[in-house]
Amino acid sequence: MERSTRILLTGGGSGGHVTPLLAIADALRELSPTIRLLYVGVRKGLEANIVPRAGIPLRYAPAASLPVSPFSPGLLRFIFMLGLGVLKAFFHLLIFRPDAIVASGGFASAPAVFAAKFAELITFGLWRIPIYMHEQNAVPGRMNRFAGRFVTRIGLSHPSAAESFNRGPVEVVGYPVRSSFGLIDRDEARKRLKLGAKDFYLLVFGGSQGARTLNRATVDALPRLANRDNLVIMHASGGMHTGEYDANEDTLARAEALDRKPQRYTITDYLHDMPLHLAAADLAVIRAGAGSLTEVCSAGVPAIVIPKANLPGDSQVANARYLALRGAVELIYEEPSLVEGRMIEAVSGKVLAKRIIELLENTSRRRKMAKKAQASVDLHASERIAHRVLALARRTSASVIDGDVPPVAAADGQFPQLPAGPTALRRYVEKTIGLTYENAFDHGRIHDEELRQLSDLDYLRYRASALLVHPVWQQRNEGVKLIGLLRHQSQLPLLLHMLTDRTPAPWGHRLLGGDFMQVGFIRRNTLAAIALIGKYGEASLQGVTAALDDPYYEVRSTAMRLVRRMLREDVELNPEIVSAVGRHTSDPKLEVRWEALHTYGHCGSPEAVLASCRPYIMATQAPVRDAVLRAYLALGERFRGTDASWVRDLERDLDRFAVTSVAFHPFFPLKERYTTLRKRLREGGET
Amino acid sequence: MIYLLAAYLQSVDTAWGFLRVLTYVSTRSIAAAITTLGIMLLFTPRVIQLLYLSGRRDRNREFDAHLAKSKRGTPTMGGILVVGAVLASMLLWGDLTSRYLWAVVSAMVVFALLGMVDDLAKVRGGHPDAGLGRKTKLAVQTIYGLLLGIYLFHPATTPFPAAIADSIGVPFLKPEAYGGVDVHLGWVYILFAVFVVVAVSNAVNLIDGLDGLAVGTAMFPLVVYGVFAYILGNVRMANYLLYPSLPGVHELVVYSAALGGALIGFLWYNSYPAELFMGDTGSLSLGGVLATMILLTKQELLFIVAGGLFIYVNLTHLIGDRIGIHFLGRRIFYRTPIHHAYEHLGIAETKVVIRFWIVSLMLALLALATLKLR
Repeated sequence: MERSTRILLTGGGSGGHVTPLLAIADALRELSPTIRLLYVGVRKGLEANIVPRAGIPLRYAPAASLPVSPFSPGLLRFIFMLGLGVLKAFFHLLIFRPDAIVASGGFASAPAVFAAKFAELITFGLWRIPIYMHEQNAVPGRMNRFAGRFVTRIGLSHPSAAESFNRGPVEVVGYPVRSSFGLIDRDEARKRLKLGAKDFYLLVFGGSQGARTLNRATVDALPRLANRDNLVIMHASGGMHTGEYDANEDTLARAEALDRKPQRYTITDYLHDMPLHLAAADLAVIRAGAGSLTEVCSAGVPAIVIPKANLPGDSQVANARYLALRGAVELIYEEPSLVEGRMIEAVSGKVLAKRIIELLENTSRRRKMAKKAQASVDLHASERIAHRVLALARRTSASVIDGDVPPVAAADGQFPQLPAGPTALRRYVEKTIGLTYENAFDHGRIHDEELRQLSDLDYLRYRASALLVHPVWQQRNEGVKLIGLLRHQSQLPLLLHMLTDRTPAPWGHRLLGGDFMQVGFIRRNTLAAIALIGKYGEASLQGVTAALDDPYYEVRSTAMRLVRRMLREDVELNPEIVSAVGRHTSDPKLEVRWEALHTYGHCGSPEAVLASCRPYIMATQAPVRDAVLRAYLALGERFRGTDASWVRDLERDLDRFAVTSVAFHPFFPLKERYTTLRKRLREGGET
Repeated sequence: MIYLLAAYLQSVDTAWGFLRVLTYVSTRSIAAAITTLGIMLLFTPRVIQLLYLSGRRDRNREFDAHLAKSKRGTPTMGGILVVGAVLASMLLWGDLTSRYLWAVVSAMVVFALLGMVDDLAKVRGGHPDAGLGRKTKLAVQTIYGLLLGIYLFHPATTPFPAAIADSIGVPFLKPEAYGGVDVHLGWVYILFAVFVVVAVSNAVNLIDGLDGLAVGTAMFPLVVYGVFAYILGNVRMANYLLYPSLPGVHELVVYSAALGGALIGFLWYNSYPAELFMGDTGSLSLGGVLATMILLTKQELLFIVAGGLFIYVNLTHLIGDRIGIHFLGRRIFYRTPIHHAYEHLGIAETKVVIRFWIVSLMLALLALATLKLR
């Protein structure tokens, strides 16, 4: 009788790392009933709560997460805690003497993993404990990326994660789910929860930590759902309390403040019997943590997913897109917006309500989603992983162990590859639509058909919005351009805020002549974005008025061009704009002056225009005089056929006009003819 | 070659005495200039055709969206012709034993090669950012500067009289030999040489942005340094004007004449509208030559006057591009390099070019005026 196998499980800190290990533990116990398990985690993590409930002995080893910036005081704390943790874990290893370690990633798994490597090093390879690492996300976390170099085998849930590990033993095994999901009978569950046959059960939960965006969006959506009598909502707000946000309290308070909300709406902080609720649910609204996604999918519940934005590697967005592109879930991106003067990520309640209602009314779509969702979950993952782990523990190959696990289902295609960097992204959009940002003002409207040619417009808009609040100005600049090119109207308020934001630049910049945080180029480009979006409400007009007096000259001159564009689209200008244009016809900067003169011709009163132009009819600079002529031409267009006295004034001014010009456009007859010929041949070939 | 031939023949027999005319700097200079001019006028049309056919065409960013005004498609790498012509002429008329000549010819060739690699990369890549990275170019220029600096500093290799090998020339300042003061740099001279080489070669590279601009603005400083080379090589004249005598540097007069002739020949085709561009091959090599001549005639600080236009263009570019566009996120000048700003203000390209030539001429005359002011 061989001694029973001993496996050490480690990982945690957040639920996403704990539940997979519990699933693997279940599978291990099934394969080898005499197996002995030990869980090593952190005291403050979720594991303290749920691991003992699963009947697994739990030990602690302190750990801290790697600080984001390498030179902060957090680094010292990290090193100290890690050192302590590794020592303690080493102690656990000595006592428990595992045959293998299963690590699910995250900082909580660091002590045990490093301790095992440490043991191997100091015994010169005599005491080697094989380590099986499992990565749950489409984009691996930092701990796993680092540890991937020295663990024995790696198991992935997503094929796309393979790119981050270039060493050998990597395998796609799926995401391990505790078998309690997907097994409860739906009718049975609904009976237990006292739901009628016609009731529509909507489940909202933001993961064990709760999610502000999710909770607030749900509460905001409630008024629009108030008239649905058959709607039953269970809203688990999560147990998060930080200094500024207490999930449960905040949600309760906001819900209280509403005047209309659905009849049967319950708020709780945590749902303990998730399998039961999921079995009964018709629709779920969740975050995109790998755990919640898999639970929901394996229970076959159609879901609206709101991934958390801007995590390292954008992991939640990647997980969500993976499923959304397969039609298993619906996706709503959270985007930065100005709420009560602060910038937070949010989803509009209106948008969420609209999606909920759409799915509420479309039963066949929900059925299709449910089917695709279940197809995306690999129910054999736990078993498969357990086999691998036991093989490692017993130093044999997996096939020797009893059992016949079906292979992983082939992934049906990858996502369309979009460029990663912001500038490359913008160039890709420009190329697909056929418009460069520099020509924004000369181009007409961007048409919907042009936008449709982009793959995953929603995702591109999300990326653009995320760039808008990036700390580096060059990236914010690219974000502004992308917003314009993608015609992402809902970010217009944020653009206008950036245009008028007078937060000063850092002192280094100001020393060399900089002005505000939203640098000159950004402010100038927001104007072009407004032109591309093409919607001119009250706020836009105010923004343009402010831009006309901006300290940076390019903003002023671009604002002049924007006013001309607005006039072409028949927008009503308010008198402040017209008078500002008139004022700037004597602007100290030439470029502003000539743009102002031209624009004033399009919107000023004839007498005022002529008066502004008169000092410049003999100006030395040709573009200024050119602008005067353009202004006269504009007057002619606007007041066709009139015989007022100002026409004679204009003619008199023209008599004194200096016609010499040192600016010219070259005309090369040879090149013209060549181009025409080529064009004709191309067109001829197409017909 | 002819120089050596004449010298040899004279030593053989006094009957060949009349050939002495061919050894004079003045004769050789004029002959060299005519030679290069002739070569350029003869060979350029054919080379333009060849460059066009082999696809070595300019892939510049559109400064103006107008198709007619577009410069795309004009053959580039015309610098090869200039370099080739000058080399041929030097082979014929130069004193191949002169260290000064070798220094300046090596500069021309090395930088021309660097420019050629860059040009070819740009042509192949299809857009103007495909060339060698800034860092690579900087590295090569620095290495050349180091080598040149060491060559000029080390007593074994330097063509200078040993006592002043590490000194730099300050305008208006009398050198020690005449009762004034010499500015000795010691080994720092090598670093100084690197700085000069890098700064000046990039300066000319930058100014090559409009038809005929680089050629014209470089020509005048070239003449100025040619004049200085003549004076410094002639012991009597140098003593009279209170300049340190650098025997042998008069070879540079022949060289500048040849280069001048080649540039004029190039201008025949490069004037607006240009049929040929010099490319980085030409502008980098021109810059390298200018830098070397500055060092070889020991009139480094004079470049602030003689090459003031280059300094202006480069300084404004540094400020406008590095500080303005990339750091502050706003334009400081309307456009950089500054010649484009004048175009933006509505002055036609041709006028900007000629005005720059005028300024360059004025500065050159000013530089020459310092000859008498000691």
